[in-house]
Amino acid sequence: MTHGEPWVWIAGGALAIAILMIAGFLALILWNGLRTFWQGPVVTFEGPDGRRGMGEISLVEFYEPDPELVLFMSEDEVARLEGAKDASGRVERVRYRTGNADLTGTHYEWISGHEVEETREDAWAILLEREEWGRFYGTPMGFKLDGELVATSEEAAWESFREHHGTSRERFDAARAIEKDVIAKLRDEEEAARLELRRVELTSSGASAEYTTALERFQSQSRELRRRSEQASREIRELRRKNQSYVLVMRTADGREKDVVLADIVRAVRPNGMSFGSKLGLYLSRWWEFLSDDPRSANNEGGVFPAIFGTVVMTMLMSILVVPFGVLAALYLREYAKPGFGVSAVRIAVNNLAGVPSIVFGIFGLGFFCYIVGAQIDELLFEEHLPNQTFGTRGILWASLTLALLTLPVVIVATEEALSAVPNSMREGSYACGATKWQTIRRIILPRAAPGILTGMILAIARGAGEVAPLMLVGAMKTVRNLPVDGTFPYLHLERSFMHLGFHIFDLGFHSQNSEAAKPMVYTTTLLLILIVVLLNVAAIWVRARLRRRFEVGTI
Amino acid sequence: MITGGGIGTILAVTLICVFLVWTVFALFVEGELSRSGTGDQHLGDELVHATVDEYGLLIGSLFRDGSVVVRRLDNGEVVGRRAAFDRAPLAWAASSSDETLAWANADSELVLGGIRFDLSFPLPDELPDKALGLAPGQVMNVPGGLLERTLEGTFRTVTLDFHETVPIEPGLDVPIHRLVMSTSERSTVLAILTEDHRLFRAKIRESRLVEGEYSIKTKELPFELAPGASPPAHFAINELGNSVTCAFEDGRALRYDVRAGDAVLAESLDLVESPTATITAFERLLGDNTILVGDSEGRVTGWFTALEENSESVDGLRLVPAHDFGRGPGAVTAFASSSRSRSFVTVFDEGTVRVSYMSNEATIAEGRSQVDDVRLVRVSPKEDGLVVFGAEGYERWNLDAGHPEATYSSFFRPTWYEGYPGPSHTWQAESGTDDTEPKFGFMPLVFGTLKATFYSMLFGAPLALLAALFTSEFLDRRLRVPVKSSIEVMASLPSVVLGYVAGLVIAPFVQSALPAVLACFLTVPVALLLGAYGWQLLPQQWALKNSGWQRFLFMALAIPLGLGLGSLCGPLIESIFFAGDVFAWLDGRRGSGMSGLVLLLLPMAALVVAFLGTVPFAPAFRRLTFYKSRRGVALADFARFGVGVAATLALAWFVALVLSATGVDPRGGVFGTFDQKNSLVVGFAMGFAVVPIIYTLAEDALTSVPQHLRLASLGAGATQWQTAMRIVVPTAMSGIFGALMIGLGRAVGETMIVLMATGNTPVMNANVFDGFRSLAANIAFEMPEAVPGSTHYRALFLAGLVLFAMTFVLNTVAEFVRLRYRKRSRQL
Repeated sequence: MTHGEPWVWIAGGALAIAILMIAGFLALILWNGLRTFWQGPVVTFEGPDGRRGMGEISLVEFYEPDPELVLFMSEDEVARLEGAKDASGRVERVRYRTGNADLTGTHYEWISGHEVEETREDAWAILLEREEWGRFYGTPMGFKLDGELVATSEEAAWESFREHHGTSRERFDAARAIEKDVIAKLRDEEEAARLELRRVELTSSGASAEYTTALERFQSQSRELRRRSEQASREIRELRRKNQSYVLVMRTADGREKDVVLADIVRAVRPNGMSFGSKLGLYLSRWWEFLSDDPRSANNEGGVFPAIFGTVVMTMLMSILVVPFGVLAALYLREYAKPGFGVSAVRIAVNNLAGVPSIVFGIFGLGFFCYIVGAQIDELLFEEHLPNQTFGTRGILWASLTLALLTLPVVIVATEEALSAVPNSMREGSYACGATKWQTIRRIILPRAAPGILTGMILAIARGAGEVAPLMLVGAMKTVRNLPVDGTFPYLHLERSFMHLGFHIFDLGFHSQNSEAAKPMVYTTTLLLILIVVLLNVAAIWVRARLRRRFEVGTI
Repeated sequence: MITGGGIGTILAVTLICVFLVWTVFALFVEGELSRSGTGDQHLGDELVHATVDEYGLLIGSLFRDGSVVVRRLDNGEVVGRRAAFDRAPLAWAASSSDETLAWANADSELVLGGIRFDLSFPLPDELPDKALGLAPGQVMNVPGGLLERTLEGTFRTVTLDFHETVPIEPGLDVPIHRLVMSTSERSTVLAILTEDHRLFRAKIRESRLVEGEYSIKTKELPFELAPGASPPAHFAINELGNSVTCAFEDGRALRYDVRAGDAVLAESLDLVESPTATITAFERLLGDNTILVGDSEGRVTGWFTALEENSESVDGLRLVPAHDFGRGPGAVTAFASSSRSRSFVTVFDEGTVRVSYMSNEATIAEGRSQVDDVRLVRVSPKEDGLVVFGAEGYERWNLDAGHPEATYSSFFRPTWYEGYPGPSHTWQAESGTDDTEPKFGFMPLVFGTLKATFYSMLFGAPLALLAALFTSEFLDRRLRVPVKSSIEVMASLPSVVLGYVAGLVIAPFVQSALPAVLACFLTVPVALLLGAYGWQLLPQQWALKNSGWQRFLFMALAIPLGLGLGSLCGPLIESIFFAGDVFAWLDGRRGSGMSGLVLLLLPMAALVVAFLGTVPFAPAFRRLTFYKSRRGVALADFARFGVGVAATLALAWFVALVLSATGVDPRGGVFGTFDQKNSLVVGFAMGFAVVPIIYTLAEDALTSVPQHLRLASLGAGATQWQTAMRIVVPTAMSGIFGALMIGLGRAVGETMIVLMATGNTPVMNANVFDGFRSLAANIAFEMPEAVPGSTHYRALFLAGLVLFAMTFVLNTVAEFVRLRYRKRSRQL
């Protein structure tokens, strides 16, 4: 009879747990990641003691009040707490995202049910997303132009804000553009001039005529560059000065006034009473900002474009490095090497390499690539830069090389599998037609194995995109000044460090001063990373399935 | 070309291993000591202090009368001199960091001063023409010092600077006889012995407001000398000035506790073991907390105060001979402590110069000196040389200390660190200052790695294997592909994401609902079993018709049921097992250990009961139910389950009662104080990470068991479960074993999850509710700060090598098993 049914259920339960865990995990990420940018209503709450606040509800939960805390409460408060309790003695509490961290020092506030008498959605509640200090919640109170109050009603202030915000932001962007393009370029030129001088100093002795002329040239160059840089700085100061005169005066829920310079406001939203369509528009524009912008306020806001860019460049470099070598190794193992002890030893080594912890690759990359190979390159080619390291420190090249080593087994195994799936009859047919071994490989075997190699490459990219531990050691950074690819010669800067999505998650989640404020950002970044990795994997599975089908047809 | 590329790639792979070994190898290279020169200048008896500059160019020697002579180290030429004081000081003291001095002037006032080499880097146009002609590496005399052209072509001058402060009146009415000092950033402390044999502790602080103004506080110690006895010969004071030790020639020593209030005699002890031996050398190690004692029979011991339980001394501390270096070849004549590590030099009277390391008692290097009558030994500031001063000359030695703090014993054996109550395994490699002792005990990290692996495999392995078994043997054929691919996708989830969720979502959740979480470990299996017995009660027709995906759906539904049950049972469990407050119970503040034992024993009891309930009683049960209807059998089976649950509880309770009567308490073992980021969370998250790997490989192994074996078994009348357990699993055993090994390898090396979901404290305990630090997380944590080439850096490479070796062994075992398995499955 049904002997063992309980055991079958236990086994089935294990599978169900595994699937539920995946589903729950993905649901958690999806839910948190997708809702981050959705604009909820801004709630104003008022307590019985006159305490007021304003914010978005981020979490609602029930808690059991600590009996020790009750000892510190006034009688009224205890009575209110008792009144707020439900049947099981628990009280509701709400976590509001209240922003205004520059005034209160916190982004979130827990408000217990007994501390609120009334909540409402103020029609004039406004959310400002700022360049610094994160969000601001409040109501508009006035508008200052050159220090003079020109509007005093909410309506008028809001109108003036909309009138001037665009031009203010244009000036802000213009100033930033000068800073990023002109001044940075001048700084680079000055650095290049200094290096030129150092080069002359290294090749000739300190007192030679050559050195003296080089020194003079450097001095005149640096004077000229400094003059131009000062001019650019003046332009920036002028733009900033102009911007300082447009000020929106805001009032927080508890009555404090705050002057916010228009240029500092990235976006202003009046969430209460917003239509679904405009909320959707806002949602999409926030996603676009997330994907295309630089991070701001200590990476807690803004976008992750540099991280996406860094991840993409790093994985591209990695695949350029890993695919040829992996394919060569697999070709050697499968087509050239004579089967025997040597080949199986190599295969064991490759399989072992797949099992080596990624952090071990990390220390290898740091110790060998950065500190030995990189330091040698510095000494030979970039002597004038020393003691500043060029390649002798962490950088995208070393990170890609390290990850290439890490993913090498993936490519080798996938390629070998693809090569072995090519039927021997095809090889023999090719030889029979008089083709050489190389011709056979190039014309017959490689085209057949290409989808398999592609699968390996995709899997390697997925692994590389998700790996963080070695990157922490060999090149990923919290923030970078320059992207690894830009418009200045030589366009691809292999020595630069870069931002990486996985490292971004680690850094935000664990090194951020305010991990609660960083949470929304972490979830969206996580969602993005998982999407990339899962899509790559699904693509690999799909390619593999297609490949199998093709050969099934091919062998019949 | 392909052969070249292929072999090159493979060589690159072996390079990793070679490089790791090469980097680690440097740790175990022995130190070297070689004589590099001698000088025969007469120094006399009056030398009180000497100092060597950072680059090994000059020595400054200070004499009793206050005169200073600066000599070139290479040829002994005098390049600078300072005249003696008008009246010679009564007593001198130097701090162990070599830079600060204190002396009692002829009026018994205290003067703080310093003797220090100053470095400057003049530009070429500030120098005379003669200097510009120097070749790199050449030196030239300048007043009070030397000018050197460095190998990079720049210039530097090294000159000796002697400075003193205004005299400070200590308020003692008798002349000072002996002084010993210690300095810290905040204050200078001194132990003072006066002419009339009274002992004082003085503390000098510089005023924060006025530079150069000092305040002094003195305190008398209850020291009494028997009439006619000679005063103590050696003194030591620690950096905080709260412990003063004085030792007599014959080895007797007194330690005073000067922390607060009146100073008291904390203990009196004997520093020399042999009754005939006398103390011949006495020195403080870097940091001034360890005392080095050398006796006339050549024995060298290192002493520091350690906390002692049931101590007889007033301060609960005891001065212990923590490190014994055994007997040397002759009487000890001098010690010198390094100013950058815990190395020290011992000179024996027959000429042996030995460099040793305190923490692990290792001998770094040894040499034989030709100097007679050794007075003083100095270690150069960079620890790359020694100077041995005798009455008639000195000797220079080159020293390559290597990495003395890294030996096999300091990595893997318990080591007694300064201030610890006894030898211990401790990892504390990153040190804020030079004088904190680096602690390179690997065991906490290895233990942490094993702990993480154990808990994650405890959770992940059964889950993955059972799930694989179910997928290959019982799951609806149409569901197999989507289920398997979705679990494969799970394998590719970046571990940083798992770590984040574990650390910032699961950990706070577990903390907020710990009893319910613990309850779920019981209620989920119970819910599944209830479902199974309930399923048996269903009409056969219906059950058979719906045994495909519908049954799996019901199984999946049992999980939320179990979870719900668990959250309902949470408060109940808390009040029954944990005396109403689980955190207080874990702290050991409430309840007895027995209830926790019951919980721990429940799974084992369940296994025992399940075994007893099936194997011995199965024939009886079958006979009993042979003529019953299907429904009757199911009911009887259900009743048996009820009895089994009761028996499990009773058995667990009984064993726990017996065990707790013998004094077993799980708190302090598997249970203990709760930490939010704990092993339970890591076990769960890392279990999550290893499940897909084990699952995929095990499922492959199970699926590839030939179908004819299954059919034969089923044809012979075996049930599906019997077929699975007795035919399929044994056939696929080696494949399953290989899957487990690969899963273990992944768990051992996993970095991000451990890094993010534990507190990363390197502690050694089995507590499920405490964190740990694993080898991999340790590398990620400390590598960014480690200085390339330093001992710490290489020790982290050693950690990497250990990880490499662990995974190598696991993977090789898996590979061999797989090859065997392949051979076997081909035979079938």
